[in-house]
Amino acid sequence: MVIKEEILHSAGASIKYYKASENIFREGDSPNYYYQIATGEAKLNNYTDEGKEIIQTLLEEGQSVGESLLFMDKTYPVNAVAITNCKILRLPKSIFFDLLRRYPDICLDMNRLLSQRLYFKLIMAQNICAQNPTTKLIGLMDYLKSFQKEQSPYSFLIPLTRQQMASLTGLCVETAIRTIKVMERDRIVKIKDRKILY
Amino acid sequence: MKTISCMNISPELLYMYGAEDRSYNSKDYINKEGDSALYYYQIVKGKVKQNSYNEEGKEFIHNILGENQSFGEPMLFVEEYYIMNSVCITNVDLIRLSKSNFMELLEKNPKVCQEMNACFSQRIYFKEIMLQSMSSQNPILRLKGLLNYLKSYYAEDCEQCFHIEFTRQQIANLTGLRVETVIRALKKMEKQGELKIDNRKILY
Repeated sequence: MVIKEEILHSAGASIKYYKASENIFREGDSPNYYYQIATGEAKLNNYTDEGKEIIQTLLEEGQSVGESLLFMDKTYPVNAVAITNCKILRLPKSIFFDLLRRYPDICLDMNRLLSQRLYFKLIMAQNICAQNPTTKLIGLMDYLKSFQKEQSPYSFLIPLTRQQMASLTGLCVETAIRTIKVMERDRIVKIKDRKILY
Repeated sequence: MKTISCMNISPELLYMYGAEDRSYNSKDYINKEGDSALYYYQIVKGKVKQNSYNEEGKEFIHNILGENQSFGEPMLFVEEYYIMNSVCITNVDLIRLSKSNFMELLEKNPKVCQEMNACFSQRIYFKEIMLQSMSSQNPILRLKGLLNYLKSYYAEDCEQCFHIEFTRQQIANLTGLRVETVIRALKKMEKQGELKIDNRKILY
């Protein structure tokens, strides 16, 4: 959790509900609020000029949504979309900055969170330039698996749909499906009930 | 495009927390892929290239950084190994501060901590835009994504004065395009007035 919910509530955060596939904010909106997911899942996305979806970040319970834009003088370069029904705590930008000033710990936590986001971007940038779809998908799976302790083969259940894996790596979904099959044959992954084990 | 040069912590403050001066020769490695992150680094003089190599041995340059710019800070927070090398491309003088002292500095200087947030945010913003353009099939859009990202690290606001210090081959590696496509697309962009090519140098 980025900021303890008690702290957000006592600072006057309001509770907002979003239905699955509803927008929390849109590309081009001005960032006026800090958002933190109490329950549910969301994603940050945008689209290429050909209309292909690019998922920039997947977010779950306890994570903040689009916080980096609060530190800048720009409009959102991405949409935030609820994947499931979401309950979200929302705090006006000015109060959010008061919190950072009052609690140095939160400011450091924010450093840590933004670093994590940037680290993911660095890996994805390297990934997206790879020509080989297998390399792209392995890059993504290595990153996701790096957060769990157990590192033995096939111990990690990929928590993404094939469409999401494609949208995170800039591949077409058909290519992602085909590549995952080849990876199964090459024993890089196992597939069980359509679920991918890496 | 408004840009900031970050992080640029005042040297006095860095020395107060025990920072030390280090000098490197051109081509020296400051750190390598797979090393643990132990220091905050801020360049005083010279240029540093951050790169890695893909499985085919192609060089992938993440960035070239100069005076008053820092590098490698995300790894101090993430507690992962470096995913890229930092190599001097000129002789380099820099200030380095150990990780624990850097954390102490941030804790005791809320303003610097806040600037760190702004700095990370800036980098994330341009990476997001770059990733979006890089996923396009259109080579010009891909190139623009890269050029805008590189220019975001440049302190001055100017039209067609930012020198892209990458070879066409390096640009090709960075954008996943073939070098012939890069050359053709750059010429087209020059014709459209989006950049200048002066003696093979690309000015954006």
